[in-house]
Amino acid sequence: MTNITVTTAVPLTDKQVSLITATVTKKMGKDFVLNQVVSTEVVGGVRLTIGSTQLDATVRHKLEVLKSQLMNI
Amino acid sequence: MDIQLPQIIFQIINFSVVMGALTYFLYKPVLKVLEERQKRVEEAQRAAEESITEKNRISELEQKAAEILEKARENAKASESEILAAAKKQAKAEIEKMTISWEEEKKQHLTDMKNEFISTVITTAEKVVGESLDSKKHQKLIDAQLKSLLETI
Repeated sequence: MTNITVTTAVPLTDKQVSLITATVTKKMGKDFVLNQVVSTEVVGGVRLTIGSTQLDATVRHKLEVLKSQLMNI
Repeated sequence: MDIQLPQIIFQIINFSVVMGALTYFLYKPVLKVLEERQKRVEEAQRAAEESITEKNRISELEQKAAEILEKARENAKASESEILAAAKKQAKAEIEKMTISWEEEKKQHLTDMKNEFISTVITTAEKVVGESLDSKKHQKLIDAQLKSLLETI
């Protein structure tokens, strides 16, 4: 069974949860558990953690990437 | 003229006495004076020779002393040049070392300042973005990014 964690700064809407469940079921099957984490640390956006894979589209992550790029100039 | 034996004997004795007196009172003192004079001349000559020898020796010693002094001067000059060259080399190395150190320090300082500035900008941006996102904007952002992320699964 795969753990899927969705991290956002505000709670997900039912529509968003349904979209995630439907898409993951379609692509990976029904063998997963969906966890929702609300954390203001991410500032905004969403982070999907599927098993050991992390798909990060949070504002914090984007700012960290920008910071790293600026520091390496 | 008759030769008279007593007169001949008298003459012989007389001559002998005169010879003895001359020898004792004149010849010997004169000979002694001459010997002394010769001795003095010889001594003077010997002294002169010794003086010349001594003078030559002194001259040789002076020449040797001059050579030693000249050699010492040359050595001192060479040592002075070597010391100066070594000092210049060391000073140059120190300056280069200090310049490199200063450049590195300057570079590090600038990097620190830049990083500090970037951190401040990012922190401020986080705060500004966080404060500018209301619930509606949050949901809109999540919708947009969720769609994109789900496509990559």
